[in-house]
Order: sequence, then structure tokens, then C-alpha cells
Amino acid sequence: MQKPIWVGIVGCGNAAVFHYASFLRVTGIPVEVVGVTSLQKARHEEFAVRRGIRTIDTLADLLSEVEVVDNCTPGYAHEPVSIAALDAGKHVIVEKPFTGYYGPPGAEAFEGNRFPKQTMLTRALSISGRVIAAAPSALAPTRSRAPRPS
Amino acid sequence: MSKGFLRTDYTDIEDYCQIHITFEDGTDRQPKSGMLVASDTVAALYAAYVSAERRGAEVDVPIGLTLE
Repeated sequence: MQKPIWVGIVGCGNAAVFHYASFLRVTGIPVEVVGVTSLQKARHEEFAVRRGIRTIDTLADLLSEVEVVDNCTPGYAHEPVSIAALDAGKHVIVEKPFTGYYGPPGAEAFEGNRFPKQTMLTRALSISGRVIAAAPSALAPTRSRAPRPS
Repeated sequence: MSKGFLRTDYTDIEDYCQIHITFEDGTDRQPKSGMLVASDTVAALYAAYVSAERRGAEVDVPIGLTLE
């Protein structure tokens, strides 16, 4: 019997709800959602109980138990969570949008509608590049058809 | 219309799972919604913001990452 694909979900919001339901619908391929972790401890406990899966305290703990990390965190956390998973040799699924620019670290008052959009574009693509570059070296990205904006 | 109807999570995740189980067999197929498409989508989204900021002016969409 084929062994299941062991998946761990990071985040417990709407994306996690939809992704978990999608894993249940996969047919012909055994998939097991091992557990969920999140910084929102109360919410992720509820998420796990309702679905009969485990709560896992930290991302590091989750990484030690799964093959695939399903990154359902808010957009600003896609980069650090994805890179941590890739660095640990895991496959990664990322909720859309893949990346974005959400202001400098810790800038809770950041307002994207008041920030220069060309700068946001450049920084968002830099984040994309960093995440992709963290993937195995055989998949190192190059930009061939169009230059990045200056 | 249900918002859920518009989401493609299931087809994307099933496509990924199919690739996952053949990965060890040496398949070189990338997921349909792989990281290059994801990156190009971000480029298109933010280029649209740039265009809007310039009152609809045409702007370049810097897509085109490839894998070596």
C-alpha cells in the first residue's frame, strides 16, 4: 500500500479551511494532514479539534514530522515560513498570492494605498525571488524574458 | 454566488499531489500552479497597482522567471 503524503498546515484562517477540505477530496492518492500550527493558539486549537487533527506547538516541530508544508499564513509571513520549510528540505504549498509587499518589518501602520507602487512591485518581486532561490539548487531561477523594474 | 466556487484550491492541490507521488520517479513536470506562475501573478498584480497609480498608463509587467 502506498504510504500517505504527510502534510502539515501552517496557519488556521480561511485559507487553511479551504486547503484542508481540498486535501480530503483528493482521490486515489493517500494524503494525511498530520497537524496544524499557528501563532494564534486558541484558533488553531479550535481548528484542529473540529477536524480531528493534532495541534503542533511550533513550526520547527511541524517540520520534523511532515513532507509537505501547506503555508496558509497571512501574506507577510509567506516568505519566512516558506524559506524555513525549504531549508528543512520540505515541499511547500503556498496560499495565493505567493508573496507581496506589506511594509517594513514591524510597521503596523503601513498603508499600501499611500506607498509608491513601483517600489512595492520591486520589493514584492525580490521576495518572490528569495523564496524561489531557497528551493533546491537545480531549480534556481533566472529572469529571461523581461527585466525587473528599476 | 459562493466565494468558495471561485477558488481553485482543490484542483491545484490534487495536481500537486499527483506530481508529489511521481517525484521520486524522476518526473520533471512542474505543478500547474508552480512557483514561476505564482511569481508572475504577483508581478501582474503589482504592475496593475502601478498602472492605477499612473491613472491607467501602460506599464511593463516584469514576468519571465525561468528555472535553470
